[in-house]
Amino acid sequence: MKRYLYMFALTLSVFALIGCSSDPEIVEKIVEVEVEKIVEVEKDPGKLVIYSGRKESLVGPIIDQFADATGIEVEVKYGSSAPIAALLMEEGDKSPADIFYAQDPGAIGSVESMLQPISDSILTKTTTSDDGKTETSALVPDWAKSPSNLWTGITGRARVVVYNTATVTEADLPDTMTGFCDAKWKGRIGWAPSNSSFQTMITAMRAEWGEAQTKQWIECIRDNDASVYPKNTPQVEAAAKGEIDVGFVNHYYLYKFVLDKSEGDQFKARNYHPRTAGPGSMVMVSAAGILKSSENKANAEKFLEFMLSGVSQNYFANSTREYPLIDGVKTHPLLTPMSEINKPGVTLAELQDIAGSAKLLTDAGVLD
Amino acid sequence: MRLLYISCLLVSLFILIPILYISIHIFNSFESFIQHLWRFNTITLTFNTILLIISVVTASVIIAVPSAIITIKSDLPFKKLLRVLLVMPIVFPSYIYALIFILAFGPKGLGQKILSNIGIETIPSIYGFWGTFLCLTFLCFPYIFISVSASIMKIDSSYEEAAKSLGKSNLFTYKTILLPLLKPSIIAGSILVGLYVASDFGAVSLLHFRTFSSVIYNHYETIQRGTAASLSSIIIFIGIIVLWFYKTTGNSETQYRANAAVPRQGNIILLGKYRWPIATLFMLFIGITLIIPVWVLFSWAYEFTTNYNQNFKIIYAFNSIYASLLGALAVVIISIPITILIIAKNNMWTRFIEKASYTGFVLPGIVVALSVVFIGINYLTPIYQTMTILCIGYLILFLPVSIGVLKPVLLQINPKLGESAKTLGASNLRIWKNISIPLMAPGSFAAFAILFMLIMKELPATLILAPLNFGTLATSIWTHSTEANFGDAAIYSLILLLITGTPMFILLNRGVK
Repeated sequence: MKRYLYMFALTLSVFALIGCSSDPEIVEKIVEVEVEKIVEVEKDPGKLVIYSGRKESLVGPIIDQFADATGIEVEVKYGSSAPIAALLMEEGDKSPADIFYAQDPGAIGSVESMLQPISDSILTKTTTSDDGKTETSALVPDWAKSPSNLWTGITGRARVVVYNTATVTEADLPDTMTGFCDAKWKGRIGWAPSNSSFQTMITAMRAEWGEAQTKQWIECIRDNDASVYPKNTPQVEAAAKGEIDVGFVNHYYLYKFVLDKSEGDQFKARNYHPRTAGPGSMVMVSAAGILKSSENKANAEKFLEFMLSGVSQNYFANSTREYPLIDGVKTHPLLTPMSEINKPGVTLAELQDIAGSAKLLTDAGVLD
Repeated sequence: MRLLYISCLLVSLFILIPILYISIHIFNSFESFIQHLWRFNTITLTFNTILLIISVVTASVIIAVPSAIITIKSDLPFKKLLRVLLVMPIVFPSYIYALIFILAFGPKGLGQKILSNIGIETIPSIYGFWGTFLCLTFLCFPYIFISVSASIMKIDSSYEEAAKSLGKSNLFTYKTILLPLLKPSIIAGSILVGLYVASDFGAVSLLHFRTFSSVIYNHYETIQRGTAASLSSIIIFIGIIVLWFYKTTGNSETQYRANAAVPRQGNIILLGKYRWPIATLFMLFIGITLIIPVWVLFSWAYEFTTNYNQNFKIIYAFNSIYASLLGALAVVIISIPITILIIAKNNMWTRFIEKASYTGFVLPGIVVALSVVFIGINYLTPIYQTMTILCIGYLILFLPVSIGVLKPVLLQINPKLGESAKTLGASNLRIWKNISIPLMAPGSFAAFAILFMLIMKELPATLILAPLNFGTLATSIWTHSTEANFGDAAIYSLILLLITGTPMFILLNRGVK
């Protein structure tokens, strides 16, 4: 097949940090770096259908870059992860989708039986050492993918406690999630029991603590008059406004306000990763897999390869402020480095029984 | 006539899709369904839903009926503009309206800031029943306003004149003459409001009031789609209660006039010294329901211009217009023969079509959409993920709205007109061209304008059923608002308001003097 050379320029925003640690104000300087890359494009690159449970505003630009770079005709259906999973189940093996790209491991796990294993070559990297020996090692760490390679994590998303900086200091915050059962937090907590990331944390609690203790935790937070929010963003806003003092959310919503809306220190909320390893400091992933019924498997694998490349990992690190999963890509400077988060021992593959968590929440009367 | 029957048969099949789909899921997950049915939660949430329906409908009627009468029949200043501004909240998607509502009137929001200047520090919480009730009333009363307005304009003034010539007061005339004549349109609007409240999830979830639709969404969110689908039968049950309630209040389908001429409008009510106070009252109300939300949108949009995001896609506005034009046209064209049949033949089948068509409107959009996926992927593969299947989805969702608008109009067409023309030797084609179509046109346009607006803001079915790569204004507003990109969400919302405002303006002010 005749091949064309295709060039594209990529502008990477590289964040350089200036400022000292004693000064709470962080000054950012953006250095534009032009990177040129040459990619080979086939004459008839074919097509690819992506079902994305991640919003267009998050992944649209990087999917467009993939299409531009490869010449593949990419068609996307956007939605929320769970309804897209329901759509896939409804479509079954007649689904037009090649890729399912989900916001959380629960959603992609629910359609695992419809996925096919991803080739080893995509999930490993080969390095040549100085003495000419080649070595293969895992590209995506084991904790971030399905044990049978049915799906792979694309980005890391940490669970955090968002707190109001005017009323709470990090030192006031308990070491673990159980600390919030204390009566001094009564009426000060926000949570989102219907949010899938929150439910995934509950699933992690069940894996770590067992059903009985998890049930106890849910009940004590409920009895501490936690305010119910439909999802993460309003909780982060509520924490900044002092409507609540703490909220259980994912890490990246904060930066929507601090960076994108340039509110900086005016935005009176910050993230806290519980000090002691436990479900409260877990890191989840957004994940993608290839459908068994896919008719464009080669392109689907190219897509995963691209999503795990430096280009897109850098994109996510800088524009969605998620954690990159491959070595050599820098985490956004405002984030706590992954190595400093005291992660619990649960693996993501253990976190697929969302229905079981929903039942606990329903029984406690906090979910309908 | 045969064509009429065939099209109706086809439509009945479409209407049955969600019912069939839900039945299959009840059958497949019967145990879990029964388990959920007897939970305390099911009962309280059903109660909550019914409570919310009754409150929102009652308040909507109280707001809509007098304001429709005053803005049509009185000498209120700026009444044409006021009519449009009153109705405009209807074009907001409920989740964006609720979001703005919270921002404006919620804790530490705009409203509190203003009030704190005059010394009021605490305002009642917007979360829970009262906030949800207010938000949904503002969003929903326009349904009744539109339907009552259309009916007021068709009432012949001879009734009022007769009452007045007998020395009766204005108030008496309105109570005994006008209200009974308006009753069918009030009921038609109320049914739509009631069913909409049952199906809404966006506003109720953001405002922290738990209704039964949240059970369905939570089950989809936790990947229990079988239980979700089977439990949506409870929503249908709530819908049946709503329909039954209005049936017992007596849905008399009075025909107002025997001849086909344009009804004469009655005298203008002179408001006298109340003219400006009433206008001020209207403006205050519009200030809360529309001006503040639009102002919030503009302040977000300003943020957008200062923080320009190059992902803005104007093509989505064209996609929205395309889908809405196509969808509204398809639904109106299909609902005309059905409405004719419903009027002409009052039998079990037509009664069933009329009642069963409401299932699409009362069910959460995601259930309808997935039921269409189920039929589409298995039996209609060539049209799957095309505009055709999207239009089928819109048809199932909005058929009752279209029938509701068309029926009163078609009821007023006197069948004797056609018969007389026939005895005078006119061909069928000529009768259609010169009598039926001109008489149906205004009603069809009204139905079209309302459907256009509803489809413009429709979200769940559009997300699931639309062709690949087919983003719309509604999907963009949703995407950006959930990701807290309020600037982008506002830009798309303002475009949506602008596009839907135009047909609404024309619709609302036809025939207003």
